[in-house]
Amino acid sequence: MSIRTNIHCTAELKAAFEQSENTRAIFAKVVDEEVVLMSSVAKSSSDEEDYTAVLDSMAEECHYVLFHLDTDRWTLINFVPEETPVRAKMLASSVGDGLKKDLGLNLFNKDVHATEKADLSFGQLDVTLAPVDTSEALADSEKEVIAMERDAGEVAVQGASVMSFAVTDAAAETIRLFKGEGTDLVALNVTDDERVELLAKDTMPGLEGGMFLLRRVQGRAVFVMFVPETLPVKAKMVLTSAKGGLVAQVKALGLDLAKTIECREADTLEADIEAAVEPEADATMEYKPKFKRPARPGRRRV
Amino acid sequence: MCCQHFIELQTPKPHQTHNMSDAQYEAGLDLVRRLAPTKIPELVGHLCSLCPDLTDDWLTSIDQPLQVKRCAQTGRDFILCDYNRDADSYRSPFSNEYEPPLEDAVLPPDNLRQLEAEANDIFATFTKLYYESGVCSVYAWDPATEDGAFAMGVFIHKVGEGHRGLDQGVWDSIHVFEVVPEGDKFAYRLTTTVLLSMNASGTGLKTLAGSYTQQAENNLKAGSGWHDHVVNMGKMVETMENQMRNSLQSVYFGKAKDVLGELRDAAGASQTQRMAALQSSLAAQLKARNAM
Repeated sequence: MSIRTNIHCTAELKAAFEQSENTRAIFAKVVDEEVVLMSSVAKSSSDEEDYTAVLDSMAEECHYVLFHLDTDRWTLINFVPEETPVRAKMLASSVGDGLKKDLGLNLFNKDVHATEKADLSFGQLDVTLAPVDTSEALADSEKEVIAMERDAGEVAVQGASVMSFAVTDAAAETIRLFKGEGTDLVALNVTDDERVELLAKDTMPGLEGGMFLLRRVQGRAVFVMFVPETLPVKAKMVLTSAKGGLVAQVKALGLDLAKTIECREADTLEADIEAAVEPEADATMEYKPKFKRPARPGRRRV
Repeated sequence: MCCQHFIELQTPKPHQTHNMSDAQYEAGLDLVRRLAPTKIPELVGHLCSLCPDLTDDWLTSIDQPLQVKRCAQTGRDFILCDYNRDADSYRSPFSNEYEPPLEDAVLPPDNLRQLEAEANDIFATFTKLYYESGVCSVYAWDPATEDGAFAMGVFIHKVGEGHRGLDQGVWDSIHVFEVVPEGDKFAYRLTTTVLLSMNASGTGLKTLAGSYTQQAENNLKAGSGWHDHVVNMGKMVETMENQMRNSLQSVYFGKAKDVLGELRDAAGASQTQRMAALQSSLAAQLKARNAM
């Protein structure tokens, strides 16, 4: 899932970047939903020698360092110390991407992420003109294999992505009612204290916020995660994180879900649900007539 | 570049069985299935001149794009199709007259003519709601199968021109009902064909056309008079059209989008991976908080 942020850089930062022929590094951070210029450092020697000085002048807070290489390429150093607040952490990488887009994506080669200064070394920077990143040449399936091998040691942590938020009694009761076909619509949401509570049943609530829906259409149960685009990033992440666990809990109650879908727009919600219960349209959409059409009334020829 | 998309077209078996011409009939349908849907009218013409004996079977079972004509009496547009045709004349649903005039023409019985008038009004509104503009005609006739049975066809023709880079797009809906009394209810048997074609030469995509047929059957109650029948059939038409529109969307466009997404990731795989990693670290933190 990619999340769009609307955090852009200030004109001041842009100007500093444009007149950067003799600049070695630019420091920037997010302030009030904008990326602002902190300071900049001029070139004094080669990029490798300047690098240590640049690292020394880095602040101990979440910020970005735009490092100017002698090849006239830039490297974005995404510095996110452990103690950074969760929201800033979540946004750091997509804001960094947005920053590169604002300044000119083609001027950057690969990014560097660090949580401690000690992690940073000049060797990490890709000084060649054309970024050579083998991962780009791999197919998604190959990347998955590599990622799985890398994550093998972290399985316990990964398992957390299907963590279970507590479901309130009223919500659980209504899910059971849904299972017994006592209702065809259950809306659930996640509270601030991370519990899944009942929002509405039988009738559709207003679609301003995000929510989970259980809907029965044509006798088939559909689980919907409704995440409007306008929702704050944090709320989106909370819904996404709660989804896996909730689906598992719903299934544990013995409910047979025909489909689990995600919808981002209120306008298309109904159509998405309808489409989900449609039998998978096979490519040929083969049609076997069950009965004949009635014969036409008229005569073929006079 | 020319791109054409065909959807399997399967047509009902012929009513009569002729041994020798059975094979010819099958071969003809096979041809229709394989050739461009936009060329169906031309093709049917050729088939009929090759095997005049089978003309009736072919015209009955192959759905053709709908044509439109202006009613000479009322000035309203109506649809020309096999179901309002007698010999070479077509009957206007508004004036109930054949154009060009025809002696001893086949007209619907009076009671079915009432149904036709009511249904034409209702489906004109339906068309306005779902298509904004477009021509809609409803024809009713006696299928002469069982006592109390009747047949009705709803035809909708919409042409979109010059919208959003589309040179021309045509949507034709052909809904044919046979309604047969069964006990205290009526069996509504609906066969729907949608013919969809679009030309968008500006984008390099030249033609996209297909035909799609589905059937539905419902047993529903209806009181005396036509009103309940119109309501029942209206609901079936609405459900059917919505379903078919969704299916067409998922097959034509959903598939194309899937393939494109598979070929070239829009967001970039590295970003997707980063977001996934972030998400799991957030999840871990929340879990740690829950555990406290």
